This record gives sequence, structure tokens and C-alpha cells, in this order.
Amino acid sequence: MNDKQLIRSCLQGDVEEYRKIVNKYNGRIMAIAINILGNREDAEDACQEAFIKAYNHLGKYDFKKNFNSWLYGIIYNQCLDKLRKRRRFYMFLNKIKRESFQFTKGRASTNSIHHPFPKRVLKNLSLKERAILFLWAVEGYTSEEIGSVLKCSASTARVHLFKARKKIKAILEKENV
Amino acid sequence: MFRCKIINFFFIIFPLKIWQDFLLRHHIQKCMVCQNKMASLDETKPLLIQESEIEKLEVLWPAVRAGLSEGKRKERLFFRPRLGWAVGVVGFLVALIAGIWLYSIFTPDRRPSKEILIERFQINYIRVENKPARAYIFWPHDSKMIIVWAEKNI
Repeated sequence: MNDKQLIRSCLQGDVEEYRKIVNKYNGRIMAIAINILGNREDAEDACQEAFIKAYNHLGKYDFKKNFNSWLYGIIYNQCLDKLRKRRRFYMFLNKIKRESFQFTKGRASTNSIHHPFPKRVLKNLSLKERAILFLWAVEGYTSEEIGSVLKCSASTARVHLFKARKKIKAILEKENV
Repeated sequence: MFRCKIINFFFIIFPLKIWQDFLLRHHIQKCMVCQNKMASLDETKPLLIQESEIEKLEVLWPAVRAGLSEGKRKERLFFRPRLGWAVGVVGFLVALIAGIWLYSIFTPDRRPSKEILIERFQINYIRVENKPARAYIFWPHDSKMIIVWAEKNI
């Protein structure tokens, strides 16, 4: 059974068929989420939410388009959402830290929630650049395909890709020196 | 080399995506010097986490499955906030219409007082000592008072 047949079954209400889709794509979706978010816990949450969202919006899927790209679009938006929430959480935590500092003389610390990137170099790239780099290097997408996934023009995708590659080269050269 | 530096300068100084893309397509992607300043596919790939490096996610499906049934419940509940909005909008419109109606009832007539007086004050016929008489109407300026002077016809 190919993807499109599986999707048709899901649209007819067969939830169990969706398990095959989840099992088939969870590795790829998880990989892009880890590359964007930089840690496994958040990536797992984003993946779970993305698959739920994808199921709830299967009716909107255009059968002429690549299902993989459609899923990448969803996981990218989910990662954006996750980062927004994380930022808000850090702001809240910093506020608490500042306030508690006045009373406990700085005993509160946020070190425990610091999630380093698996590959340090990626830390220097923006979220969009990380996603574009993954789609280009791992999936072999063209600028047009990247643009359709991230809902931007091919030229924007090309420029972001160029900037990301340039940054990486500069970092790698710096490390080698 | 010098040309590359100039193009790079113009790339940075005008951060318009269309312009930058133009430079990319017409020079950077074709120039070997500029290409060497970018990380290649072979250099980039090892930096990214790939599917093969990820342990199989056994727990994902049960979590997604649970989320799907929760999602259905949410769909049903989705009606509530919409109903709330509808009730709110209808309530606001009713209050607005009632307000306009009450305002129109209790607001005094805003037409100039002269017009109102003329409309309300009218003498059709005046008689003095059972004979038709002349009538003079005085209306002092900026006043609501009207003086009627009746005079016998001599």
C-alpha cells in the first residue's frame, strides 16, 4: 500500500492505517526536528504534535503534492511554535530567577534546562537556515522544493541556504586553524 | 577575486532577497572562488543529525494515538467558543439597537427653537370686542417668549 492509499484509508476513518504512516516517517520527521530544535525531548514533543496535526488536517492534503514535503511543512511550523513557547518559558524562568535572586542571593539556576545542540556548529544558524540546510543536504531538495515546504519563495530559500553554508564554512575554517 | 569582493560587498549592503538572489544566480553560483567560501554538501551532511542516527521511536505511536482521540474530543468542544462568540455578538447588537432606540426617545428635539415655536405657535383668528382685530406677534431674539399684540381695527 502506498502513501496515498494509506491516506485515503485514514480519511475514511481508519485510524490504524495512520500507524503505518507514523512508523514510516517518524525517523525523518524526528531528524529534522532535532536539527531545528537542538534537543531530543522538544523534538519528540514537536513530532507527536505534528503527527496529530497532520492527521486532523489530512483532508487538506493535496494528492498531487509530495506527502513527505507536506509533513515537513507541518513539523517546521510545529518547531517554530515550540521555540516560541520555549522562549516564553525562558523569559518566565529568567524573571523568577531575577526575583528569587533578591531573596535567595542567586541560588536559582537555569543550567539544568540548557539544551546544547548535538552538533555545535548548528547553534550559530537561525531556525530557518537549519531547516533549509537539512532539506538541502539530507533530503536533496531544490530551492523551489524548499520554498514550497517553508512557504517562501525559491529565491528566499536560495539566499538563506547561501548564508547558512557560508556561516558553516567560516566556523569550520576557524575550528581548523 | 576583486570582482568577487565587490559582489560580496553589494550582497551585504543591499539586503533585498531579490537582489541577493540575482547576485547568487549570476555570479556566486558560477564562481569557483565564491563557491569555496561556502560549505559543500560533504562538509554539511556530517553536521546534521540524520534518520539513521535516530533510535526507533516505539513510544510515538501510542502517544499520537492518544492525541488523536483527544483531538476528536476537542473538535466537539470547538463549538463552545464559537457559540460564545455568537452570543456575545448578538448581545452586543441587541444592546446597541436598544441604546439607539432609547436615545432617540429621550433626547429632546435638536432642531432650532425658532423652528419648533413656529411649528407649535399659530394664530388662526383673533377678535377684540367681538370684532376682527389686528394681530402683531413679537418674538424677541434668542428667547422662547412670544408676545402677541392685538389691536382693534379702527
